[in-house]
Amino acid sequence: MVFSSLMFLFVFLPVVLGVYYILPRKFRNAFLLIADLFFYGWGEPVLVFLMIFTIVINYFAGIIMSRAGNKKLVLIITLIIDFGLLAFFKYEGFISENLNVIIPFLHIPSLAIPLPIGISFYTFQIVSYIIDLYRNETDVQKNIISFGTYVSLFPQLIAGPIVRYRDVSEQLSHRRENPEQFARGVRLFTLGLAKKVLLANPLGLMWDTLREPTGAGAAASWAGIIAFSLQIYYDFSGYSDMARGLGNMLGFEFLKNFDYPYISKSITEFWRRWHISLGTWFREYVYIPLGGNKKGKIRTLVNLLIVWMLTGLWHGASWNFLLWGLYFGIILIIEKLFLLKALEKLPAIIGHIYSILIIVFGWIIFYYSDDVGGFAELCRFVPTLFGGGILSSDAGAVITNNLSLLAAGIIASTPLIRKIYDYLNKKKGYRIAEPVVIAIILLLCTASLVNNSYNPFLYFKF
Amino acid sequence: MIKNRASKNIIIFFCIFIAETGILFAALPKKNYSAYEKRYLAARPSLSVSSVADGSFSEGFEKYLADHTPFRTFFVAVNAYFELIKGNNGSNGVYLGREGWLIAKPPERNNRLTENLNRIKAFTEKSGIPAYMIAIPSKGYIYSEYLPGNSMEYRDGEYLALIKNELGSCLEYIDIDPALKKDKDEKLLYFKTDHHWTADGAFTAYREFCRAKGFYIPDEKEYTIREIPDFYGTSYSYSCYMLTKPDTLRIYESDRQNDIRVEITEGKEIKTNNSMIFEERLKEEDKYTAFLDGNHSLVTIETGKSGGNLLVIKDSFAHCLVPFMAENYGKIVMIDLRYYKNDLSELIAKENIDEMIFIYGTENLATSRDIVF
Repeated sequence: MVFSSLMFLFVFLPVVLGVYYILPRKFRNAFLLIADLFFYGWGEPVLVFLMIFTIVINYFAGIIMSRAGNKKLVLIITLIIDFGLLAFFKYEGFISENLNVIIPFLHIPSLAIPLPIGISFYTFQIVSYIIDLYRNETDVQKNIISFGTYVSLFPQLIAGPIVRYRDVSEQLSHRRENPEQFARGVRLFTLGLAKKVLLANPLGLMWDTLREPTGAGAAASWAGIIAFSLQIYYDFSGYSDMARGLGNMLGFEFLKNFDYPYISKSITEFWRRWHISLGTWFREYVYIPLGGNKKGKIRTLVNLLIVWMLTGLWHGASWNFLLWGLYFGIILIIEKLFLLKALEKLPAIIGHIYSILIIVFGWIIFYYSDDVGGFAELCRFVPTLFGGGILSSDAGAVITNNLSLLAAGIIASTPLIRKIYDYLNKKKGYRIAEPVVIAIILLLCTASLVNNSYNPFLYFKF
Repeated sequence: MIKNRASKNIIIFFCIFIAETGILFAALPKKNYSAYEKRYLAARPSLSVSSVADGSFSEGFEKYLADHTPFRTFFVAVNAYFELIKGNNGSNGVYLGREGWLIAKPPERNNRLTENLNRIKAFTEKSGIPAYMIAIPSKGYIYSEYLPGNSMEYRDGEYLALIKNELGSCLEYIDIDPALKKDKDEKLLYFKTDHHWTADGAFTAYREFCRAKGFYIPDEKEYTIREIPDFYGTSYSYSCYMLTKPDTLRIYESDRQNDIRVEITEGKEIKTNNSMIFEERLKEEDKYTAFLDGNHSLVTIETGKSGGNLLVIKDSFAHCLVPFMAENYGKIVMIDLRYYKNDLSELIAKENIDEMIFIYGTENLATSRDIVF
């Protein structure tokens, strides 16, 4: 189930919130777990058992680890199971396909396993628990219901943020829901829903129309890729906002996952602002265990490259994601070596322009996964940015129709709206004005979601 | 307990909004047909182990929910007008033009026109009987002055020239474009809320047809005009610009057409009528189907007149033009290639066809995948 659906908004959410607050505190986690499994099973009626299996295995691994002497062995076995399942379900097709190419006479059949929703997220969450436990950085969770609730908590189950166990372990047993937090949750959720429905979805439509036709012109390709860059930001950060908002409504606090990434002055800064929970995870559980920057310059660079290739691959089983990760790995290394210092001396605007260009170009690589044509399509698209006319009249019409959308997308990616909000917040009329604005946004989002299903059957057309 | 008044209002609104919509969805009676969208709405999916396991239950339930969301049409209209305010006129594929004109967006530039014309050409050459073509340009091309500022380009001029060039050698192309442009300010040649042309548009084309064929060219005054108000057409349904005013459907009636017998063949069923106007249809939402009962695979019209037998290969634009042509032929056989899958040469032989005519909207000629002989 996705948040931006009528099913979630008008069936799942009211029922869950209603029952949750009627129930006494001690039953709330158990109820949440049931709700989580329903939420997941709605979209993955079979693979929900895979997730339950993972939860049970890791729960017992935790118990054993807290008692047994050989913690390392338990850790290794558990990690092999967790990453083994991830590798099997996410990368089996990719690995077998490429092994078949590299090694002749080898015919590994592709099993065409569908990717279980959210497996990359919940695997990373669970691993954070096991590793932290091994490092004595957190206590064992003895209650399987609380543990299951942590792993499968529906707000962040399918698209993050990746919540580390130690960040919520307290909240799992001792959270105190309160109205102020609930209202904050509604605000965040509404904001996230608007980002997804009112910005990301139409921006995606715009990219689709501008990407396809040849001969639309260079301006069309640029407008298209800008639209896609904004789409992916609002899609993802909108989802994170909704997740955090829903967490608030249930009494949880999750850490911020995005912090205006497009105002960065360097790529180093960008990755501190983009998908923060993923960066944190890789730093904590891969980069530092590899030795981080403590083992000499060469080793640091190698570590960085490993982390960034893995980060790339985490986004999907396709060569372009690996390339995308490497692309950022190399740029980050260059920045670390000298560029960052050079950029600091230059006017800020140079840093902004440089960062945006690198980021936008990265999104082109990111977009062209094997599912949409891979390298061949990538190589067809990139030249359209630099030639083939300026703008066809039809593409011009698409851009003018979406001009306000594009402008809104650009403005909303800066802290400007936040600043206006904070300013108005102190004014008298906001008690009424803010709820009215939220109501309007929710109505417009609903209208857009309903419109997606609006589908006049015009069998008599022509 | 709660200090911030805004927070209180926000919580109250949010909870009422999500709960109320859900409760109304559960409580309100469900319709199974939407007259507005002209389709059957999704039914509640059946719950079983297998339907849950293969995901069809959840998928079906979401469709069911979407089709029966309370205030559904209201929300769709809100969305359309919000897009309009944003500057995205035509978000649902139809522009809101000046003076209440709803105009469908043009087809993409890379389309199937040339391919379809080649097929028509091959078939015409093979059949060896005299052939004609009337191509009806799109509303956006004829009434382009009512389009909003930043609309896409309507290339019907190019298309018509291409049709003339490609088919000129194998059939007689009857160019109605200049006549339509001449009459367009005097009368509404297209519906404002439907993608079709009106009987007035068809009448202008009919006069050009008569001129080309050397038939008597009638005057509008020779007909009695019947007006049917409150017609909301397909462009209205599509666009959801619900504040748009309805059209009036005009029907040309002539006392010279009293011995008509229309026979509609749909699979094994045969339906007959003694008029080309199907009165029942005028009471329905989509009143345009009153002309020859809308789309059917095969329609035969015995006109009771003397004259040859005409085969009409067409889309629905023909429905309000063919009634005029009934004056000039003894029998008209009308087929729709989307549904008619039998051998056309056999039909031509069986029905003793003397002439054939293609009647298509340019938009459909450019996009149809059913022009297969």
